[in-house]
Amino acid sequence: MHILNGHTLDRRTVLRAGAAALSLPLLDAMIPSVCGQQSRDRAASLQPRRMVLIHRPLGTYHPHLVPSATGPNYETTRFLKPLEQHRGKFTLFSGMGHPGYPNDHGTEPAIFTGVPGLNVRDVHNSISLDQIAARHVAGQTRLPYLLLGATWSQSLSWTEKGVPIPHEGNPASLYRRMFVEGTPEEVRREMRRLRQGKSILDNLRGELKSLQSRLGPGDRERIEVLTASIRDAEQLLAQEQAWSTKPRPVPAMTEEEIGANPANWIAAQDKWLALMHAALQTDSTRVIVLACNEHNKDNVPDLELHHHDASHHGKDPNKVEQLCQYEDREFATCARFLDKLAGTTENGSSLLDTTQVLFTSNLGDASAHSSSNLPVLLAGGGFGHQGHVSYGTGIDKPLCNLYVRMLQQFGIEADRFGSSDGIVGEV
Amino acid sequence: MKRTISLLFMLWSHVAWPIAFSADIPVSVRKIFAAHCLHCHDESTQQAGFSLAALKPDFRQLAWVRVHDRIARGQMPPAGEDRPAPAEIRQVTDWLSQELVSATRAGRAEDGRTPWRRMNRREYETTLHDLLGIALPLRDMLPEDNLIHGFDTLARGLETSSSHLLSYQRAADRAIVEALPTFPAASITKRYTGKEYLENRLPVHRTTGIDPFVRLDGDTLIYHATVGGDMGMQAPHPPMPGRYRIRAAVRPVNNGDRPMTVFVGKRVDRFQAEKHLHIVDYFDIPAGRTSVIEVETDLKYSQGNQFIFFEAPGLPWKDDFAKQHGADGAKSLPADFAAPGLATEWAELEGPLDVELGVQRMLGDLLREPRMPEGRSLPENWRSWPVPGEFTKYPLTARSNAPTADAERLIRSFLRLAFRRPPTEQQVAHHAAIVKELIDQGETFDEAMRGGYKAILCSSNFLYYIEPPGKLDDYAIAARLARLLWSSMPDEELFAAADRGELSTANGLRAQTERMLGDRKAERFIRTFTDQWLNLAGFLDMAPDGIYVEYDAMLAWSLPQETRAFFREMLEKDLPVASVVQTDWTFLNERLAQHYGLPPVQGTQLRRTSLAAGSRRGGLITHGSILKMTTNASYTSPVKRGAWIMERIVGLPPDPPPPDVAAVEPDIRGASTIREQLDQHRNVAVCAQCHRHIDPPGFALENYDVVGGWRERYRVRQGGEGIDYAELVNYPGRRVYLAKAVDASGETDNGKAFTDIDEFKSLLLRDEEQLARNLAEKLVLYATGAEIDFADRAVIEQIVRDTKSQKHGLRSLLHAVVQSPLFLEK
Repeated sequence: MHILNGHTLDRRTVLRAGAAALSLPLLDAMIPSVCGQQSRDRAASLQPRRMVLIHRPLGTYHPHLVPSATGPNYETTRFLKPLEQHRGKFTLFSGMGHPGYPNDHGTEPAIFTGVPGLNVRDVHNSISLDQIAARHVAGQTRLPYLLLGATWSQSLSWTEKGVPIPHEGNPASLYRRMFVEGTPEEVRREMRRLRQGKSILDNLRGELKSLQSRLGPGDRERIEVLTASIRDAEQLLAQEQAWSTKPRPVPAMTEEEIGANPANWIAAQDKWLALMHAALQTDSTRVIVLACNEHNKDNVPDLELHHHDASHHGKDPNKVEQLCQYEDREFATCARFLDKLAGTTENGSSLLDTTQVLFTSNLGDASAHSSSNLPVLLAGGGFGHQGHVSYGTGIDKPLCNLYVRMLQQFGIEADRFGSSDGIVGEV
Repeated sequence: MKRTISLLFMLWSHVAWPIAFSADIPVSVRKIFAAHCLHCHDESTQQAGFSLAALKPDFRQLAWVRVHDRIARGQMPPAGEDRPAPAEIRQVTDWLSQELVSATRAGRAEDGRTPWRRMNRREYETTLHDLLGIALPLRDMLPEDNLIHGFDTLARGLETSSSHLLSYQRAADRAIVEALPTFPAASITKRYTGKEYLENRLPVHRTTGIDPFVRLDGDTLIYHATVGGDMGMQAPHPPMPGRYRIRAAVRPVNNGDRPMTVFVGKRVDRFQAEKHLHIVDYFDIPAGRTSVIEVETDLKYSQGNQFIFFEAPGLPWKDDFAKQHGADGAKSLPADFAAPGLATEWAELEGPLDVELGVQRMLGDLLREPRMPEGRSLPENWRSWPVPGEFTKYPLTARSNAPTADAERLIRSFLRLAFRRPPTEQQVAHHAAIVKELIDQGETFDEAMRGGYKAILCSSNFLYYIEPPGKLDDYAIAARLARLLWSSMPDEELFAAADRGELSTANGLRAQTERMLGDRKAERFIRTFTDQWLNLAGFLDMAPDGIYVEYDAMLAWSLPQETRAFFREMLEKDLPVASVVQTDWTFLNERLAQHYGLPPVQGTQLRRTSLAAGSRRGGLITHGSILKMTTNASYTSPVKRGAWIMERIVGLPPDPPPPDVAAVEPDIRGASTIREQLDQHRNVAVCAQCHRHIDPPGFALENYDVVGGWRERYRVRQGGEGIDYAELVNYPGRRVYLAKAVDASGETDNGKAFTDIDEFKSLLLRDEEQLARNLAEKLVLYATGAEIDFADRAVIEQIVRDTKSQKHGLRSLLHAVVQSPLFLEK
């Protein structure tokens, strides 16, 4: 972990040394014993930690993504070119994947959960990376997390019990929730909704109590899951209530910009990313998942095939080129997002440095429906970035090892996640 | 005690195996295991990652079921190994099935078979629609449900997250607002003649968009070209969202004695159009007379944002028409214009249907008046205010002179519907108290009632199916039945049958099942069950590669229609389960007959058509819809198709693929076929084990291409050596590149060879009982929400036996499932 001004403290060392209970006042707990008063003062201005997970389906065309050399001084590739100005601020990993996943589009719901032994016909999921992070920073922002875009499967975000959490598909309504003050009538109605919401949950809890005696042990266990959900829902309502009286921040983008109809999917994706930037810049949330769905060729002059069709290219050169043109644009939108983050400063450091951005796909080579050697690009977040890290083309290094590293960077004491068998030490 | 045994066992197993196994396993069985299983499946060998030696004698584990099945089906020991004597096999399977049954029973004594489960979002939407008489789309406000074995009704896939709980609150709010509009809402009937419609269009629409393509004949408007929904003949626009009935009187003009196809479309957004939601229906209108067509559909937006239009797709497109006849802007066509056309005498809109149901059920006969601000009195003439107009400022609000008594009375009758059983006095008191509390907090009576109903719709008694262990009572049976056949709540008649205790009798239950299947709402079962059992829901997920030039919107619409009509026919006529594999009939329209290369069928409506002997289009598994749905965009995958057949039709699903198996990488540049690539795959022993099981049905289907057409050779993107540029047999004039010949031969898992789909189908038909067993299991999964345990097998076998005399007809199977203890006990 990088503390301001280059004071680097290997947090894992601290963890190994047995420091316990490092939750939010993490630095308060850690710094006095390790670094002294001066660092403590600096730490007071420590930046928040943020996490952005971006998923796109349909894998990548590896020859245009993965550099031949490893380390920071690789020769750039066609897809990485737009990211060139951020060299040193991101790492491309090759040879990673979720071990044992079937070669199938259906692995999408587990991309951020990495649940071991996924059966795509019968998904038993568990908690996703974003939800662990969101729990860690609960209550600190207006919205606990944002799940955006449209997914092919139910969701990319899942609770511990394997319940999918829905994504939002309407940027304009989200904009209003974050940035637009309601009319007095709307505020009154909102307050009533929150009050009623709380009593409805109380009511439900009461019903469950009286029900329990009539049910068997298996059902009682299910009711416990529900009771936990009631608790979570109460917290969400409480968070909404706590923030409902605070004035909404003014972002760098206007309501007109968000409401405009995008000309094509590139513009639509840019819009999501601009909204994400606005959410981060105003500290409205610290955890965001964006699902980019398959694209169509509409209104993009040089594309003649749909994205899905092009991705199953079967080595047909024309199709390969079409696929690459889709990917050129996807990487370009990603680059524009990083540009925006890098160009925004907060207490002296850039938003990119406080935001870890993961850009990945559930397929490696979509033409083979292969779920190994996934495209994995991690940017920002204050990692010691390494350019290109390769784990070779043999058996995949568990992507969850990187997730563990990301959780630690987020300030969470984690040593395993999903199907991890260690931790990525390179960044 | 149990713990001691398993601890001991664990200590034991790695030191003293094989003989010192758990005392829970009889010595004789241990001996058979040791002689026939352990050399491949002990701790050190672990073939296929499985160690029998390490398997604890806890018979709730699925692994023991697999051990039983593998041995019972003769798959283990595998071919080439020493076979145990039949008596020995029986010894193992008898003992194991006893253990497995008692293990399941023990688990169920306290919990019952079906875990406590909530509605899924599909059921939530339809239930609220039926309860409140609304048509508001609600399911998208709720998180998606997990599909288990393809179904959205299984308890295991229906956990509840915090976002569910908050979404239910939001959805209930929306539903109540929709059901209790703050302006007077009444069902209306609007009708205009073709002439009136035309004269109401703006001049700017008429001059270039409509007039050059139409003429009037008295009050009748005749279109001679198709002009697109906006400019075409529309039904009156809905005044508010809701469910509507639309009628139109239409007739073909100058079309000889041929019928004319009329398309009834609905304006939707682009995404919905991709899912073909813009198609409401097609009608083939006979020549020479006027026909009244009628559709019933949900219109979700008012103010012209969603409306119904009619057009005859057979007429020339307006641009072509203009080229041919010259378009004289602003002038209608002459009265004696002789080209074919579609005449509309009148069009009518009726609805919203059931618009008063919500008000009736929630507010009864209470007075509703506009709420005026302090100091202003209610004008006498408010009943003639335009809608919604003034009502947006002065919302219609329920009044009560006896709020406590009214609230209790209304809540009581609503609870019975919402909770699907008569409420207890305690429940009535509790929910009435919620309303009272809101009034005490200063809310108006109207607001307090809304709050009270919201609490009911967020109660566990509404959202969950609460069934105590043991035999279900009549109300719980009614709830299950309504859920199965209507995806909804019981109607008054079903409630009444439950009141009378009829659902606990076989005849009463059967009578209600029959009645409900005859109701329009049973279409929901047909739709959902085909969507989920066959995965027809996934039909449009993948757009075929551009080399399939014949794939068009009409085909995409027709293909799944065939399968749904086919299933409906099986259900209505109680047709044998073997129909799934082979029939001498199917449902066709013009487009499908062309696609399949069958004798011409006229029109767009699908109709039951006999097939010639030897036709390769009989049976559901060779429907184009299924064949298309089980492929990739550019090539057919025998693996996908084979797995689909084994899972959904035969009911013997493959094990999931082992980890880290390399993917098949298609190469469409040359002529190397997917089958050749799969052969390489099957040469790897670990892959072969399952692919031997999955691939054969897929190979048998290789003669069907990506869009379900028959093929003798594989289609490729471009020319080359050995590749011909040839005409498509069923599409004269369309040419494509054809490469290697298709080989549809193979050998089933148990060594039966076949050369093509016909032979494969006869192999499938040899075991009709397995087809019936599978379909019964799928119905049980869907209907009861619980997985089939070992102990359920006996009941499934009973269902199979009981329906044998009906050749396991679909309707008989459904009745047998409903009458079985699996359905009638928790």
